[in-house]
Amino acid sequence: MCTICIKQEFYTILQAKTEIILMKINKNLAISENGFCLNPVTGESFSINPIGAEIIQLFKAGMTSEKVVKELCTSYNIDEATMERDLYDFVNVLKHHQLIQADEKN
Amino acid sequence: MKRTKITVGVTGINPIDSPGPGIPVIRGIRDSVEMESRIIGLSYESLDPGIYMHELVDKTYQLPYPSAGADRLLDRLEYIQSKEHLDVIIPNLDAELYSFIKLEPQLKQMGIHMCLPTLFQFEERHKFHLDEFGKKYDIPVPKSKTIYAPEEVYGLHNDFMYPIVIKGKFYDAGIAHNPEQAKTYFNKISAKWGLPIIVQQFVMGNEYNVVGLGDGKGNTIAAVPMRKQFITDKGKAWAGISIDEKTLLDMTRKFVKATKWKGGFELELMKDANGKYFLLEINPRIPAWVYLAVGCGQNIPEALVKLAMGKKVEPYTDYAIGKMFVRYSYDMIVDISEFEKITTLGEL
Repeated sequence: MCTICIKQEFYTILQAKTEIILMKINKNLAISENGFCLNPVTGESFSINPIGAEIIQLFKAGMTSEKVVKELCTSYNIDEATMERDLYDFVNVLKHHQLIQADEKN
Repeated sequence: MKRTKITVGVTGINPIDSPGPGIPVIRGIRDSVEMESRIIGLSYESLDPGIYMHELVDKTYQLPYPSAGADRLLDRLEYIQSKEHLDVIIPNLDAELYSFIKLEPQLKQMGIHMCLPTLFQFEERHKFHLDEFGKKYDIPVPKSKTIYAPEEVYGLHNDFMYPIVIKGKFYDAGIAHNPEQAKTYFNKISAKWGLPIIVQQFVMGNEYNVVGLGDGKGNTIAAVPMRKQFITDKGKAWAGISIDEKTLLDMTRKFVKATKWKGGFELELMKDANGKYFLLEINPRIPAWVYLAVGCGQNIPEALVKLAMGKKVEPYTDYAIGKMFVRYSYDMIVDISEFEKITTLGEL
């Protein structure tokens, strides 16, 4: 398998993972216009940058990761592979802070 | 609405670095739209700040220390009652609760009502009974053991993994990473608060608390969970936020239903890395951060007064999520004549 194919397969797996996870974003998560985010269950608060806040809002609106990637690629003129990787990293951060539920079964 | 006139005695008017709950309790009662209250402060020290907070406390009387015994306390309360005609007393300090619970029938005869746990409930929830308590009511608690001598710390490795928590029977705790540290904490805490000392398995995680009120029939009248945001070196919350955690509310209702708890209480819990809650302590009285609950829409002090007076109180079903409290210190300027009065006459 060539490097590109491996990379492609890797991102496909990532994408599949994020698609499952994103559906579990805490619906009660409150985000202000400034990107201040409160997890009402744990009482923890975070400052999220504008793109992070935009991603959460898109997830909360029910968008799949595929659509989020496409939307952001268009808005910010980024290639899909980079966007997918960054999105996966961001989702992991959300998971670490329990902003998405640990149960990933859909 | 015609407001009911009521005279309430409140202890724990010491909002210091390890604050008593008296002042926030008074603020809750003062906020009531149903009651017009006269507040009688009951203090133990001449420098309890509440004595000098005249906008909240109408008059203060000194009480004998709990170590003086229930008879001395009763004598003093008889004198206070002859002057003030108290309708309700809210004891807010752990160390005095035993005496007040014992005196409940005599105080009732004097016309003083209280809303306190029974002696059985008070004894059963002690830190040194937490293991049995957890098993009996099916509530997860960290493994714990009661010890009476410093030498016993050297055998703890058979039952516990370090770090462990060394706790006093009323207050104070320290995290020990080895037997030497455990022994140091044992000596320090037992010298201040007496024996026994409680050894508890340390649970790594975030601390959560619930303030609540039970009606003695198994009903939870009020419950507000909070996460500490800023903790002092004494482990006290200096800031906190109300949270929306169903698990904590379920645990609280389970505790109240199972024990038929009567009165105010605070549950101290730790959430471990797996998201599991462990009950660390049950404080048998209102905590010092109770005014957060008032700010969230559950006036627990007011409801407690009504329960004490035998009134029917509808359970609160809702509270504001994401409300915060931030504590502060404040220097009052006090005339020496006031200090003189409370010191020499025992009342101000």
